[in-house]
Amino acid sequence: MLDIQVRNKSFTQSGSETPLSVLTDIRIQLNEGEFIALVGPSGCGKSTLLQIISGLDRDFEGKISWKNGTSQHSARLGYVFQNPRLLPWLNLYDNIALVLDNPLAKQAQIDSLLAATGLSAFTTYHPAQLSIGMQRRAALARAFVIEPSLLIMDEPFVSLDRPTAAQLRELLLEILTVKRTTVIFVTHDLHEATQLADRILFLSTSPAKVIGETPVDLTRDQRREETAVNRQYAEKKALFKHLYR
Amino acid sequence: MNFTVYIRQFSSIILLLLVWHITAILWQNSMLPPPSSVVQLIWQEMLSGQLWFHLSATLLRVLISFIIAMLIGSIIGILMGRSKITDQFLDPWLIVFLNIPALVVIILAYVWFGLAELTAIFAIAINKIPNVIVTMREGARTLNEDYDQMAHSFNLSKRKILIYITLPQLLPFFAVAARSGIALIWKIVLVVELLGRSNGVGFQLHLYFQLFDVTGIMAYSFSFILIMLTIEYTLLQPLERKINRWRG
Repeated sequence: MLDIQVRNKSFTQSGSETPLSVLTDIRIQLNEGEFIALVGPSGCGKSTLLQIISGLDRDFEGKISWKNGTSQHSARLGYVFQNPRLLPWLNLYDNIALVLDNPLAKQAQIDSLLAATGLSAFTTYHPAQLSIGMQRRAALARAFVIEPSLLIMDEPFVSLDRPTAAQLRELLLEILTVKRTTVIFVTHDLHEATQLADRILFLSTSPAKVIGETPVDLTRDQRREETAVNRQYAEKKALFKHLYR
Repeated sequence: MNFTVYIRQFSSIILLLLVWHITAILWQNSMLPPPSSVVQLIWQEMLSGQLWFHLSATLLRVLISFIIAMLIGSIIGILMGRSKITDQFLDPWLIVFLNIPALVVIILAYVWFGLAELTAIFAIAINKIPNVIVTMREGARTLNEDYDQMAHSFNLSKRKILIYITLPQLLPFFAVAARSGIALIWKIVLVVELLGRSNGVGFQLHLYFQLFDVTGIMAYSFSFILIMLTIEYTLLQPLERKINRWRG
C-alpha cells in the first residue's frame, strides 16, 4: 500500500559547512492494514522519518509512493504525537471536531469514539482540566475520527506511568480490532512494540537505516495475554541484543 | 472578588477623601479646594452640558487613535515577528520611534501638518504604535510550532489554522497591548489637546491652569479618570477574563 524510500536526509547546521546525514538507505514497504513498529535508540532520526512520511518534511532524497493510486495529498493521515497537542483554548469536543471537514455530519462518529476512549462525560472540558492520560486518549480519538488511511504514532505513550500506558495500549488494540487501520508506530520500548505490532523494524544509530526486521507471531487475542506477549518478547530481545551489540 | 475586599477598597477611598477634606479645611487656601467644591463644579458643568461636550471630544479622540494604533501596530508587529528580514529592516526604526518623547512627536506634527483634528489623531497614534508593535511581535515570535505541525499533518485549511490556531495564540498579546494602549493614549490625548485643540479635557485643563483654578482642573481630571476606570472595569477586564477562561 505504501512504499517508503529515503536514500538520504541531511540537515545543514548553522555554522558548519558539511551537512549532517540523519537517514540513509531506508526502504520500508507497508501493507494495507498492517501495524509496523519502528524501534531504535533515541535521537536516531525516527521523528524525522515520520515527518517525511507524513509530508511535513519534503526536503529529502527518495520518494514516498502510495500503491493504490492515492497521492500524498489525498491520503488521510492520522497523527498521534509524543505530546497530545490538543488546542488548550478549545474544549475536548471541539478539538476533535476541528480536524473534520464537516463535523456536523459526523457527530455520531465523534460520539462513538469519545465513548470508546471513555471521554463522553468530559466533552466540554478544556485540555488543561484533564489528566495527561485523558489528553492522550483524546489525541487518539482525534486521530481515528478522520478514518485515516495511515495512522502515524510517534512514541504516543512515552513518559506515562505504567498502568496508564498499559491501559492506553489495550485501548489502541481495541479500537484497531473494530477499525482495522494501517499504522506506523515509533517507540524505543521493545516490549510495547512486541505487544502491538505485526512487524518490528530495527533502526540503527544516526544516520539511521533499517538493520533488521522481524514479524511478531501473535493473534489479536494473544496480545492481551501477558505470558504470550512475554514469550515473544524474549525472542525479540535476543534479536535486539544481537543487532545492537 | 469577595465582599470583604470591596469593603476594604471602599473604605480606603473614603479615608483618602476624608484626609483631603480635613487638610483643605485646615489649610483654607484656594489652591486646595475641598472635595465638596470639586463635586459641586462637576455637577454644574454637567448641567450646563460643558462637561459632556469636552469629555466626548476627548473620548472620541482616544477611541479613533486607539483603533488606528492597534490596527497598524498589530500588522507591522506580526509581520516583524514572522519574517526575520522584515524584523531586521524595521528594528532600527522601531527603536527610534520608541525613544522619541511623545511631546516631540506632537509638536513636530502640529508644526508640519497644522493644528488640525487629523494631525492630533495621527500624533497620538504614532506615539502608541511602537509599543503595540513590540508586544505583537513577541506574540508572533512565540507561536507554537507543535500546533502548526499538528494542523499540517491533519491537513487543516488555511482558514481553520488562522481562526483556531494562530489568532487564539495572539489574542492574549493583543489584550495586553490594548490595555496598556488605552492607559498610554488617554494621557497623551490630554497633551495633544492642551497644545492645539479648542475642545476636550486637555483644552479645559489648559484654560483652568491659566486662571489658576484648581477646582476646575480637579473637576475635569476626576471626571475623565472616572470614565477611564469605568471602561477598564466594565469592558477591558471582563474581556480579558473571557479570553483567558480556558487557562483553567
